[in-house]
Amino acid sequence: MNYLYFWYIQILSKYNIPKIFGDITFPILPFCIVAAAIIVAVLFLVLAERKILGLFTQRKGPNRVGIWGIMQTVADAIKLLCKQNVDPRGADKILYNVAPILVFVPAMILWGIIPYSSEFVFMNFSVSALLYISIAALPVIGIILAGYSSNNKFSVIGAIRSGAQIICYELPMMFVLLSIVLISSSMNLKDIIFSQLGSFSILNWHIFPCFLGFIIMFISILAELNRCPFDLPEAESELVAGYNTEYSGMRFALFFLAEYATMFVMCAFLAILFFGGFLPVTGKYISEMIFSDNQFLQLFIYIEQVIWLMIKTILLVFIVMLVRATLPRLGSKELMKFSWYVLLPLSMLNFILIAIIKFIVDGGAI
Amino acid sequence: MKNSSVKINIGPQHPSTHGVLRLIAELDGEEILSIEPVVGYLHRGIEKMAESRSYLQYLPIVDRVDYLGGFFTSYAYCDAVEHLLNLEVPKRADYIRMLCMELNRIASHQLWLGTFMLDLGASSPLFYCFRDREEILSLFEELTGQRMMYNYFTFGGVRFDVTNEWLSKVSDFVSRMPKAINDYEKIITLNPIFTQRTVEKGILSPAIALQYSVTGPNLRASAVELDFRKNMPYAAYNDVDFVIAESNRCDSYGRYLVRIQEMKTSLDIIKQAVLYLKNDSSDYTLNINPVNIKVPEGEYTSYVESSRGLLSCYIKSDGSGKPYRVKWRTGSYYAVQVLPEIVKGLYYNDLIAIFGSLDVIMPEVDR
Amino acid sequence: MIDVSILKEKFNFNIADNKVIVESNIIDVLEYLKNTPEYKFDILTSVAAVDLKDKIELIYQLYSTGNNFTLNVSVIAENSFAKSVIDVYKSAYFDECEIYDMFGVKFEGNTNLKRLFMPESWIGHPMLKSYELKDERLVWNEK
Repeated sequence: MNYLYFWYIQILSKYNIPKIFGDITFPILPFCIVAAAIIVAVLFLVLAERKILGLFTQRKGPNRVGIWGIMQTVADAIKLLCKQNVDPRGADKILYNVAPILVFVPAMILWGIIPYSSEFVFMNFSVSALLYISIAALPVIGIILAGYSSNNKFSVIGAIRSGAQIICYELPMMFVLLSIVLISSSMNLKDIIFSQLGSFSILNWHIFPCFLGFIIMFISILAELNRCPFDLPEAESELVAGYNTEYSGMRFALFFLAEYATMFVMCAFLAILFFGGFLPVTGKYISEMIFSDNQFLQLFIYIEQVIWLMIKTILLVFIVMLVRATLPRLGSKELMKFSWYVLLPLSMLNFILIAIIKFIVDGGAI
Repeated sequence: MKNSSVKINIGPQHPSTHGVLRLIAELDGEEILSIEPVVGYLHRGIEKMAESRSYLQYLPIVDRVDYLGGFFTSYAYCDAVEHLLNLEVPKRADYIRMLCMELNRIASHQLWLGTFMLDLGASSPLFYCFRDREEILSLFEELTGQRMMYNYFTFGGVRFDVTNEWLSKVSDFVSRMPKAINDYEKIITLNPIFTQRTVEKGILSPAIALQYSVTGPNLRASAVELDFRKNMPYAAYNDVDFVIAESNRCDSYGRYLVRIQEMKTSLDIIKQAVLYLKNDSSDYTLNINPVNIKVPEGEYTSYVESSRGLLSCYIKSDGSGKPYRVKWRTGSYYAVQVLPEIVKGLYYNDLIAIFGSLDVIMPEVDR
Repeated sequence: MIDVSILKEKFNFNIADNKVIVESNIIDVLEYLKNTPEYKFDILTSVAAVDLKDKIELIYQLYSTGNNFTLNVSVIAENSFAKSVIDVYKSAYFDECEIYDMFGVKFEGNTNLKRLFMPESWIGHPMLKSYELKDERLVWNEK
């Protein structure tokens, strides 16, 4: 971030604009970048999901708008923007309008916490991992409000399910995060990434000591995203569309955007915790190999780091979509049982195991 | 608040009621206290229509009783009329009819499987099923000119003869189909989520099934071996070898297993029928003029094992050119009735899964 | 086929046209047919009503899974009144509702009798031969 900041201040000073002005206006820049990135990522993800699901089910997927159906999501977005916003009779007007925003804003904040490269971090806190987890749980408030305020019984059931689901799956997730924090001795996401840097390259990733944790985390994240097989809150065949049954037009689009934005950022989070985030798979940065003595080498490395993170994230997103194409939906009773009887004990076990390993590796020093 | 139950209205426009069934459910949280099915949104008066049409004019309409199994209803009607007319249908026609009905059974079960899995939240099996169902529909289209409302059987036989070319296409399909069924089974049968949602869910005990007159695969999944193809053989079922698919699990999973097994059984029958038809060149129809036929006074009930249970057609004739009364008995009609009995105390999403497993389609219920 | 001569003595049946015509209490007959081991008609496949212009005939179609035979039991609904058999065969509930809806036969003992297919506000019973469609656009088929 400093790199960008200095670059920005330099440009301003060229035109004799005071530094204080730069300090105030600088946060607008990351905001714009994040907003643009979310839009692009969601457009890409929606198209990718439809294409991939098409591939799995031997269909073509969207292929009418633009070459290879590339403009399909753009057309969908325009359609959603132009649609009428319907207020259902008896709905709580204020809550009904606020709910989509409450779902969308946390998704956007999450994008700001992720370290895209070693310099490119918008919000660098010492406890950013904890902050991330807590903000990731926020959309459920919006979902519950949406269900409650819609004056629709299907929506209410969806909202209740969503609340129950979040409580069930937040706990195992916290335990896994705790074990990661234990390994890397830090709650800062950037430090967690750097703790995976070592002489063994890939083998230093946290996935290896913490494979069980990764599985638990992956399942919990699916549940938190309301993705298949945990899509009970919006189970189409049961609840019509769950909590967003009554929403239309732009308000629905916000739910939709938030869902895909969160999906992407959650996969990025997984990549950071377990797959070394922006660290290269090759052990050494490729740009370092190619431009060994270039004045822009540092910049190239930053860009390369972003690319590495994106590759890892996209692979994880692909797995999420693969799961959707394969599995049916869990029942609400089974969902609870699975969390309390299977995931939670396993995540505790994982935590204890990691603690023991850490104790032995560190030579008994506490 | 003492009474915490919520009344929720599912349907008639709901994604998983397979048409236009309306269920009034009383829920406590997600637990079902009671449900009440409301039918009649697809009532077309098919029984009343018969009384103002000649026997031939009514023939195309019977396909609409069950739009996923047009051949079954066609057969039931033709069989009843032929009995009243004292017609002996040629062997070849019987075989052709049997072949069509079994293909239709596979297509119907495939659609059931796809939509059932969609009810459970899995979208891929739907497309696999539709991919293979498409082949059957193309075969039907080639034979009858229609993909859904075939109007192919006629009094005393069938409308057109099957060609050897068509028969070899059928045997091609039959040879491909086991692999496709294997595909479905791979993705579904041992899937832990699928088994969790179906095993021990929606238990339909044999006593309740008989009490509610549930027939077909649903009854066979409840350990009662009743298949009208075996028990009261019609068409050419007497001449072919097949085993009745049966399960004693009594739950949704058993109903799934029975239907998968039934697809394989149908393939066996089709194989034998194709073999017979290839080596046979007799007449495929009696060539009677069906226009303005006068049916002698009397009444007859035909019993047909359709893909959704016992299908029977009761015809009373008063000697004129129009049926005096036609009564359809369909499998789904009774499967809807048994639903409130088997979902009590289960969860809301189990209701959808169990309803899906019963294979109810609404045109059959409402007629 | 099935030997119904014992039944004939017991309940005083007339046998005609492959069906037994019952004049006494239909519930007793069905209960007897269902519970006697040599018949054991455990499925009531359907109930068909036929409008005979001056009276309505109800045909109970029975099937025995153990013995594999069918039997049609016919009873006349006097003055559009009949006894409900839902205590013997639960599956008769929809059938009785449908017959009430279409023929106007009221079933004594069926406490929850309602129109099954037609809306509650519908006037008349459509399957009766005497039923007339008032809208002339709908009777194009009758010349």
